[in-house]
Amino acid sequence: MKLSRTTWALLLAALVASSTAFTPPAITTKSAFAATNRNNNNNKGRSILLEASTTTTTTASSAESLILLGKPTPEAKALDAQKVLTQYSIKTAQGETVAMKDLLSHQDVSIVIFLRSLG
Amino acid sequence: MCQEFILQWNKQIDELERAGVKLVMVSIGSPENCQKLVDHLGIRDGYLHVDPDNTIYDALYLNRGVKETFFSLSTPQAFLERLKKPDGLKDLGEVLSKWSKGTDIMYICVLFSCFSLCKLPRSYHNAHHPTLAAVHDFSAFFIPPKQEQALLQGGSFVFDGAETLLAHYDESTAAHADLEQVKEVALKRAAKK
Repeated sequence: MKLSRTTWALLLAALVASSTAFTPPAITTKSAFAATNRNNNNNKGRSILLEASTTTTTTASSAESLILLGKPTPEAKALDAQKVLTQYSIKTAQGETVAMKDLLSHQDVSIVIFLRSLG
Repeated sequence: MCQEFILQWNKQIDELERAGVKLVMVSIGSPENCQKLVDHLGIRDGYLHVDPDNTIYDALYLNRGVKETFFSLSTPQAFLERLKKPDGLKDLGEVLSKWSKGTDIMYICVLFSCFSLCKLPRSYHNAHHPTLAAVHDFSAFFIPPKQEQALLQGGSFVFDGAETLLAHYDESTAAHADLEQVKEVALKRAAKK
């Protein structure tokens, strides 16, 4: 059976659409992250620590190391989250405004969790 | 789902404080609703905050979108991961038990995953889903103040001073960072100090 040029074009379009419609699942394990990252290291000069539990697998010479997980956008990958965060303020449950730079001490280790809602 | 995550982190506060790690939780919402939730879930004071206008969410380029919120494969995958873990749904059960005694947990899961159902009028729930109607009235279920905020996703970060150690950008609803992994990174760094 011979396919027309239009049919070929439609098939090709469908193939491209199906390949872009599905994004790969979120990277949830360190090994999966390491495997993906080996193939797709575009973290703009920052070194990525591939395994959280072993500190010997840093990929670049920079002293800074970052474990990048989930699905960051290219813009997110490019920014320094700590530097950005400390420029903003949030509100307490009592309605008081608190600067992030006051919450995140320059000396301490901090965990900051962003939730999609209170629901 | 977020209340479950808040509760899980709330349980880590003592351990983190002993290690000298600071915890900051930020959500979309109003301070009034934040206070209601703090009271309702028994969250320790001073740990849960809000960013009412999502300025930080925008600045950090946290994910957002209809697909990320409703149609991403990573959402059911996150549930599957949770189901596979021993006591993976324990905290969710705890959250739900604070809602309504005897409410069918799986029914509420459906409600969470089909967030838009909550926006249906009360009369619809009365007619079709009496259980959801009860939830509809529940004061601790908070819908983001602005409609577009419902499409925002969260994230998790670990910092050591000015250095970012870990950044997790949630791909979709419920696809949170692994709490133990985030904690491990923070505690390991704190132990070196």
